[in-house]
Amino acid sequence: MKKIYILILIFLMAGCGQTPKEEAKNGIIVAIPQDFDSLDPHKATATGTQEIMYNIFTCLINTDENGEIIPELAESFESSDDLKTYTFKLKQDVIFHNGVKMTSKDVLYTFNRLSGKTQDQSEPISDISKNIDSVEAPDDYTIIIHLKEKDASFLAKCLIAIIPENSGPQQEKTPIGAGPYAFESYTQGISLKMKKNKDFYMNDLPKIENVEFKIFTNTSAGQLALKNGEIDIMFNLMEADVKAIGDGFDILRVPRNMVQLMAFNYDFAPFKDIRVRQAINYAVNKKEIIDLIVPGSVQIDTNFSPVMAGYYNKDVENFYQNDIEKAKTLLKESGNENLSFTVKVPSEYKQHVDTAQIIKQQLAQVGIEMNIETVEWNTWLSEVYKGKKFEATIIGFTGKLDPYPIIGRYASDYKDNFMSYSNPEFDEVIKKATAESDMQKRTEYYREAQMLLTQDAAALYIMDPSNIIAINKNLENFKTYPIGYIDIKNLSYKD
Amino acid sequence: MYKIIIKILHSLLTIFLVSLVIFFMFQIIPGDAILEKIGEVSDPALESALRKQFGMDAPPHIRYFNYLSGIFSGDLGISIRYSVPVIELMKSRLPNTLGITALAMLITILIGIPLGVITAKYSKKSIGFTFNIITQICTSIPSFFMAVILTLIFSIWLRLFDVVLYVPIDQDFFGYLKGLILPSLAVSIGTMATVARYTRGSVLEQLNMNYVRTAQNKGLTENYILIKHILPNTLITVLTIAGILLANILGGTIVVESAFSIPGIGSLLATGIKSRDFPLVQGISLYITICVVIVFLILDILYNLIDPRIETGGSG
Repeated sequence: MKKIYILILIFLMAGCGQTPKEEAKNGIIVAIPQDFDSLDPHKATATGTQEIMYNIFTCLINTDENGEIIPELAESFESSDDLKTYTFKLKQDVIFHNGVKMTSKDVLYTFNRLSGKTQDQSEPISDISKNIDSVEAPDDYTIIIHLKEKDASFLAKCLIAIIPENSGPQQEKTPIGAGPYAFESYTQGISLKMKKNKDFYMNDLPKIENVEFKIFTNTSAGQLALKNGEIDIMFNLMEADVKAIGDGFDILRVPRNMVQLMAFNYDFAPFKDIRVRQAINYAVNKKEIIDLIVPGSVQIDTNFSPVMAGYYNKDVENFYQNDIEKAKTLLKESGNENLSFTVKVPSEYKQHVDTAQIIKQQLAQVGIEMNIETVEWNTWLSEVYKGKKFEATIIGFTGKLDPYPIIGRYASDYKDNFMSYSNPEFDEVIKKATAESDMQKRTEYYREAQMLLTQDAAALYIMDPSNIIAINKNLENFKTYPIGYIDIKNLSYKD
Repeated sequence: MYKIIIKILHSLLTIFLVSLVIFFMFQIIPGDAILEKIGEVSDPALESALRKQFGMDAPPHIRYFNYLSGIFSGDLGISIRYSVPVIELMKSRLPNTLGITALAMLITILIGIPLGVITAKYSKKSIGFTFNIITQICTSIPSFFMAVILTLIFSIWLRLFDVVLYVPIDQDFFGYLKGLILPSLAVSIGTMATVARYTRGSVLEQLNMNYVRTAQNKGLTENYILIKHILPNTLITVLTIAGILLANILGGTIVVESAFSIPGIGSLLATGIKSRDFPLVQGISLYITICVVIVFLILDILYNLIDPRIETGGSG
């Protein structure tokens, strides 16, 4: 017995003693809240996966910090006047992580794989293939894509990882791209490691040698590790945590290009009446919600975040000023003074649950009884999003580079118009916008669409909740974008 | 031998029933593994390709049949959440969970039993009172909270450990063991206290027995009586408790693994359930069922060794 105790004691002693923190200034550790859904860039759809994998993979296009589309693997691009043909001239100095030079063959393979036209992929794996008529590669550095129907947002849809020819089947295990970082290793539930791509086409980038994305599904463990200096960057902090993490970090608060809203189900009778929807809009004090939940976030009044300034319509701002009396009158006129409904909120998203609590109290002031039902995210997807079994729900729509996937959700023929919203005037405007080649006119249409949603009180738009990011004080040049993209390549340690 | 065969047959039936129940539960609860995988950015082409890839386009009874026939050929299927064979996922995570469970069980027994015996030996009133309060507190703190307390004490204040301690077993064995210390402590403090309480109670009970008095009159030393006579008699009770506590420990690891960011079977199961990953959940429950069945088999054998009069097997 004694021997066993001594053995245990030895083990414990061996275990103790602080391991020296890595002082080497060539690596960083980024905390992420979830595991990867797939390493294959064409099969991964979670924003949480994509925003990281953009460091390994590059696309024909990319975005700048303002959400403008810029060429990446393409040297230049142009569209035909009828918006049915897109031509890309490729960069000639791009080398994949496997050492092979990128040519139009690889781009052709990528698009064929998405359309299910390669030997290793016989079924389409992306919706983008639906509208592609053919893809041709007339020479080594030119790609021409012919569409079946004109599509003004096609360019934005080209945010697709270009992979080496015939590398499809191996991407799931060992992703190969041409991005600033090359895949090193991945342990499920633990971390994904990348190392600098020395052949990256931008000569002096990236600066940091090694990057590790560590998975913390438990937020408190992540915060403790952050506080202890084991992490260099962490996203999605709550306001309450900021003070607790100590002063070794810079705190950034950046808009996410997200639309947080309370969506109404138009199949639920009371919400068919515009006066009820307007009453709710008048009754809710958005400023109060923002101050309590994510202070400093941008208030929104339509299904679009002001962060995408190019397309945004400023006129929608404060369309419904908080006015309790007006709300009461509208409810009375509509005959819904005793309105009662249930809002379904995904329990994993604390922000949305907290928002629901505040709205519940605000609506009680005008006599509306709002019940809150929290459901698992998975249940939300199948019941609310696909099954349309709900009265109202609070959720965030993540923004894209193109306005269509954001605003187009309200079109009667949109495949996931789960609110069952239908407005012929709106449909008409959206149709014109997607078919318009003139950028200026297209923007006007999208602005008009935003206004229509606001006037119609199509939903209760709340805020674009800021992403609170903690970043090691010794790091500089961290750029943020209006799409999910954790860009490591510009980061460097201060001298 | 015959009894053991009957027992094994029973166990197989249990395992089959468990798999059937899980399958039906997955049919009833809302949610869909493919939907979870692709999220709200729905792409019908990708969705149907994935459904086909994971055999989710077949009707439920066919899927269950496919699953069962897979098991008999040693194939647990492919995890939908991770697109990796379930067996491979479990293999990579098993050492961590087994490590925590074994270490926690070791702490529970090697510290719990002596603690109970010693506090029974010095059973002054004040000691009994403090002992009761401390063990009561230890048993009532949930393991996830214990995990936070331990991290605060050892990682943030004393700085003896990193918050993220986990090192894969094949990279550094001692690092791996070191990473298991806090998690096993977090799981086992409660169970250790329970074992100590039961041991103490049982020893105190035995101390009043006639055979103890006889032994004392024979002039045997107190320690000799405790270890040679009383302890074996208390072990039956304690072993039964320890068996039940193993279930507690297995449950505790699920929570503690995620608190310490350790990729174990527990956190894998949690992910599996959350993402409605049927093959994964089915594979893990199969493993857990087998573990529990084996542990009870071992306990039966141990009972026999300690006290051969105990009749085991049969209807058990």
